[in-house]
Amino acid sequence: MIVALLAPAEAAAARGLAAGCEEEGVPLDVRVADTGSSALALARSAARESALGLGAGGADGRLVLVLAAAPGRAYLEAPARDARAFGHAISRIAARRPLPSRT
Amino acid sequence: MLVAGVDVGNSTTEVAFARVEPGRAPAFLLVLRGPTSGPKGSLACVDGVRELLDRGARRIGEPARRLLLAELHPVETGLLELGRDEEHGLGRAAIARPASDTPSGLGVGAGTLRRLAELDADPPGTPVVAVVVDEDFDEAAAILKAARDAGVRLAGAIVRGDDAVLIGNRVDRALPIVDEVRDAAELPAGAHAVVEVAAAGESVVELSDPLRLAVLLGLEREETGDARRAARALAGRRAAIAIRAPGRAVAAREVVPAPFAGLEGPPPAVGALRELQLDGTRHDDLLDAFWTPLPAPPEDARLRRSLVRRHAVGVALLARGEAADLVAALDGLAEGGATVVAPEPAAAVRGAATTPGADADPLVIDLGGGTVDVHGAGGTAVAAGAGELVTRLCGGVLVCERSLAERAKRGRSARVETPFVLHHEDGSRSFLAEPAPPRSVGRLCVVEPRGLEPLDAPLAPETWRGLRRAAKRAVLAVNAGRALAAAGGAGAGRVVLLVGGCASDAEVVDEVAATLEEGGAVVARGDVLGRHGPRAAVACGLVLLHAERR
Repeated sequence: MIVALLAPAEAAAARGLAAGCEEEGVPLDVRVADTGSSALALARSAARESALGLGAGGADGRLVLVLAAAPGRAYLEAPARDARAFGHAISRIAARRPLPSRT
Repeated sequence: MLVAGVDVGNSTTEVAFARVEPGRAPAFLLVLRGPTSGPKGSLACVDGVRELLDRGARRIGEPARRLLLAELHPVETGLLELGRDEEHGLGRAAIARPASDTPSGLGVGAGTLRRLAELDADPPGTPVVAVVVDEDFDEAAAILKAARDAGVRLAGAIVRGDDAVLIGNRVDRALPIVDEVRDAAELPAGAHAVVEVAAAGESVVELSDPLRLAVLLGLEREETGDARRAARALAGRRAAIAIRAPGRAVAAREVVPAPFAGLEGPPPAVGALRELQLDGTRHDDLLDAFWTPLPAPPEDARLRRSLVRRHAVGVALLARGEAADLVAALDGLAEGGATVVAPEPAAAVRGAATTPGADADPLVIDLGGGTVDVHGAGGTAVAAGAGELVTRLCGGVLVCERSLAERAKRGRSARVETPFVLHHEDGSRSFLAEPAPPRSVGRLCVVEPRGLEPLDAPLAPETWRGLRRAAKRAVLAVNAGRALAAAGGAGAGRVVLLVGGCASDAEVVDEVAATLEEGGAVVARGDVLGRHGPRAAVACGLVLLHAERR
């Protein structure tokens, strides 16, 4: 399962993320965090919790994906307004399917 | 005198710089190589030659005083393709097309096309295929559920957005729903529609069967030919739709011209075909013509069908050419002008003969970009179709641009299974120290020193390797055999030297050797001047022939 932690200001991205993952058939655990961390820090925390080693974080208008095996930098990034497409993309990474060309 | 042997190939231009003095063997100083800057034999080639001459002059400290050229014959190489259309008209009354690979549900649904606001427009019990255009997935699902509860017989759905699974999860996971149908809003309400979704990893069976397709759409007997073509286009796809507009007369079948007339069967012997009519253009004064279809894997029927249905044929035409303009233009690049020294095969033989251990008059096969040239005791033969044609076939299989196809042709490939795991062509796996780029995950990639170059083709590395080698075999091994036969054959035990750019590709050498060794020949790779491998045989040979005639 992919884990996503969103800052309160980005809570609205949860629906898009969930829809993107559901369309790809990949389970997602999305939660609103109670800390004021950066998107990268939230994604690192999420990646540590994820059985797939894939954590998403959302803060300050951006969404990032971090791989637990390479937590030093964001693996994928997108504006928070593109949450649906980002959900598609991270679930394709999880399912080892190619990213859609429009991402 | 400093001279430069100049070999303008279809893909690569090579220049060999040497100091030539009467009564002495040439002293080779430098061989340079660069991409040919225009169609072989055209004036656009001058730029590439000039660039190499300038580089050579800077390295050596003086310019070449005379340019030595080979006789040039232009080769036209292309891939003709008939079946790339994504939508197939069935007369003028209906269409059939593949849909996105992320559908929902399973099986076939047929009914009347209705937008969500009109689901109850038909008499009770009439099967309906719903069309979702602008509605959000939650809203669409609520409307569909309400309609079903009200007695509408929902047979399937066609969705403009990427929402099939979301809608299916909320309405009915078994209902066949296809999505990413970009023109869903333009589909004719009231038309008869069929939607088919196969299980993951499988492909549609009803719409890819011409008789079932005709029955499902209610086509007339005269339209079965169109149904055959459409069904073939849908084979191998996970989801598809077919729609027949209401109230229209059955259209007369359009006669599809045969654009590849003349390319039936295998190509004739080298030089046997003098003219050819292709795509409305007459090609005459030909020295040779060669053609071969896209390679198709014998062990994978689904992939074979998808390649065969494209009706793609790689064609190479070698015409008798005049490169007088190019020679005149090159004449101005050196103080002593430019001289045509010999035909390419003769120069290649002379260059190849410098291979350590080779005979003085070896049997040489020059595997170039445009042609396969053979020069031996029995004569000379030039066959159209070589490395460039292999590139076109690779590009046709991978559906990518030429430059990427060229790299894919030469490099090994791997599929990025996860950001950290590569699946190689021999089935082995390796672990990456750094994660692969996101764009490469799940894709076949060319493995290059600078990184991974993703390809769009959904092929396993093992499959791509088989197709790539088949393309090399179909063009270079077959053409080497054609050219050798035209030049009198090799004879058992005769050593055949392979030179040219393609001979630096170990797969090509394998394929050509496997073919020629069946006839008893012994195949070796050239090593021009003992240090250039199979490259620069023509450029060096021009210098040697020039020196020997002084």
